[in-house]
Amino acid sequence: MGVTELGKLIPPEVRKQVELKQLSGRTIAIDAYNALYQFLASIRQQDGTPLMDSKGRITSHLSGLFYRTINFLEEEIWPVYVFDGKTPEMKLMEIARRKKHREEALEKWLRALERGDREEARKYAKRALFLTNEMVEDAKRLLTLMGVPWVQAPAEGEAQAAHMTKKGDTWAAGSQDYDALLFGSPRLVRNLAITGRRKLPGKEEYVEVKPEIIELEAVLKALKLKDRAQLIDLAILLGTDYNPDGVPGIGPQRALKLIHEFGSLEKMLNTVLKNVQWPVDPLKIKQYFLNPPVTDEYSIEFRDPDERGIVEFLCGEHDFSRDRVLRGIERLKKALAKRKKARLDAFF
Amino acid sequence: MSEPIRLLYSDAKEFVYIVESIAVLLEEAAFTITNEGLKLRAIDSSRSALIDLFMPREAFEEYPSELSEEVRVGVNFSDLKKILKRVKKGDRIALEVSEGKLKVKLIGKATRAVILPIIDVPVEQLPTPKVVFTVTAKVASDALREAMKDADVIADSVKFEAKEDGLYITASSDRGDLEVKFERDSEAMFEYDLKEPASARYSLDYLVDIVSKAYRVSDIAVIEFATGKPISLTFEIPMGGKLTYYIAPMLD
Repeated sequence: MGVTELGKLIPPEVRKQVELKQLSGRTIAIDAYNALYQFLASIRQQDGTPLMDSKGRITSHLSGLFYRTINFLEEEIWPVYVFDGKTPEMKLMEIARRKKHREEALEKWLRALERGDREEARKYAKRALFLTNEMVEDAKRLLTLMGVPWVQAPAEGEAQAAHMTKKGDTWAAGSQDYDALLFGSPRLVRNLAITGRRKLPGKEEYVEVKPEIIELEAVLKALKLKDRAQLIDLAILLGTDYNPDGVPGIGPQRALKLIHEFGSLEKMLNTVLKNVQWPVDPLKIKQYFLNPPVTDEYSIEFRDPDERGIVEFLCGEHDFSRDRVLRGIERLKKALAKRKKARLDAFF
Repeated sequence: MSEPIRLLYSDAKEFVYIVESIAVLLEEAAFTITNEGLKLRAIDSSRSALIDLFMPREAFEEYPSELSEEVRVGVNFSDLKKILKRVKKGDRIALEVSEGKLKVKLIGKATRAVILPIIDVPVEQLPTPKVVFTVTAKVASDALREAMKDADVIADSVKFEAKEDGLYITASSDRGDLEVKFERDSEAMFEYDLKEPASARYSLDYLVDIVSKAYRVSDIAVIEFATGKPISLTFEIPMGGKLTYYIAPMLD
């Protein structure tokens, strides 16, 4: 979630905007939590109420996951969803903070609903999001039924996605956040989980959103950084999930200048940053980004979908429209059949 | 300013057919002008189909006499295709390359010239797929086109099966079944060399588009394949040139 300040430093020329179909043929390791949160945020009614089944359970994430995944497959983009594992201890403070924010937002949402203020309600509804274990397990189950691979990361999903991309098993990591770059992914694709247009916050206006490719090498070059370690140093100064506030008083430009001058975080700690109070040892954070826990035990295998299983799960348990789901399954089958088309590379 | 590099081809229509046959797979690609002739080799974005074009210098009415180095001309094929839609029967076509621009001249009763920017197309050294083909069939290209279009009504992929008596192209789905047979020594089969019976399945996504354009490049299509291996389709161009496609098989 955390490195939005870093995003501000990444110039437009490094962000290559493409049409979805230009990603055709690519296998992408998608940060599953990130995608599910986006589905939760965007798939809502006017007053911010998410989709729910007859038992009152939220289903926005399942709807997004089902239909968006089919869209990818129809473009011959092969998603592999990577789920977060154990939360690193360093992140617990940030998690607690997010939880508090959500609780406040939930209260404000309910109050706005009482007042009948739809705009306010929508705003707070998005912030009140919460992905429960049950929702995550449902998402994994749906993917399995669809025949789409998912990977359980030992810790951070983005670290695992970066690892798979470094190895060349996937072409890019897919997430809205930039952390995958810090974890060493050579390539990041943003704006995958959102379709066509996005509502501008607080306005009744929409902007066209296209997938965006960011390459690690290009970022380093644009920011005149020597290596990924310097990028990590920069991120730590600006704030990461493990030290959300960064270094108070140091903004993006200043941080970049410090890195250029000092060369590394280590050299700053006893000098210019001597009096900074860190919530977590910053060198521990750096080590974590450089060598996060990852696994080689995963498989990227697409299977034939379990049609009956999908209908039972989505329509039977969660009250999805049967007609729409059946049409979705037809599209899914057709798209997965294309997967069987081999690439010529195997014959070079 | 240096002299532009100039190529003149006497049959603009035929050149259009070649360009359209390339445009079905590639949005952008680069021609390479070499001392041997005009070349283009590229793979489509899903990396399932490769195009290999060669037009020897002898095929051109005018061709640069001695090049100190190869010249790459990256073009947007959908733009080029649009321009070439204006070609009239009997037109000749000249390509002139200079200063990052490609001037396309259509020479007929009047000469029309359009200038296209030369674009930067990433270079990738693509090898020829390593396949030992066990079947070679020279068939009438229009008959092959009909077979692909018929199959496309039925299914998303076709099976090519080489047997002793000929080449069978079959497609089936819940919409129905189709079988097209190119019999050995029949009117539509000019040559048939079977080293070993073979069977493989290919996506119609590519085959229909390719064959329905490229059949106009040549009356004969040379089909080569082997079990579980890519298929190669070759359309010959006068004076020893050729347009070849390689398409990856589908995995069953």
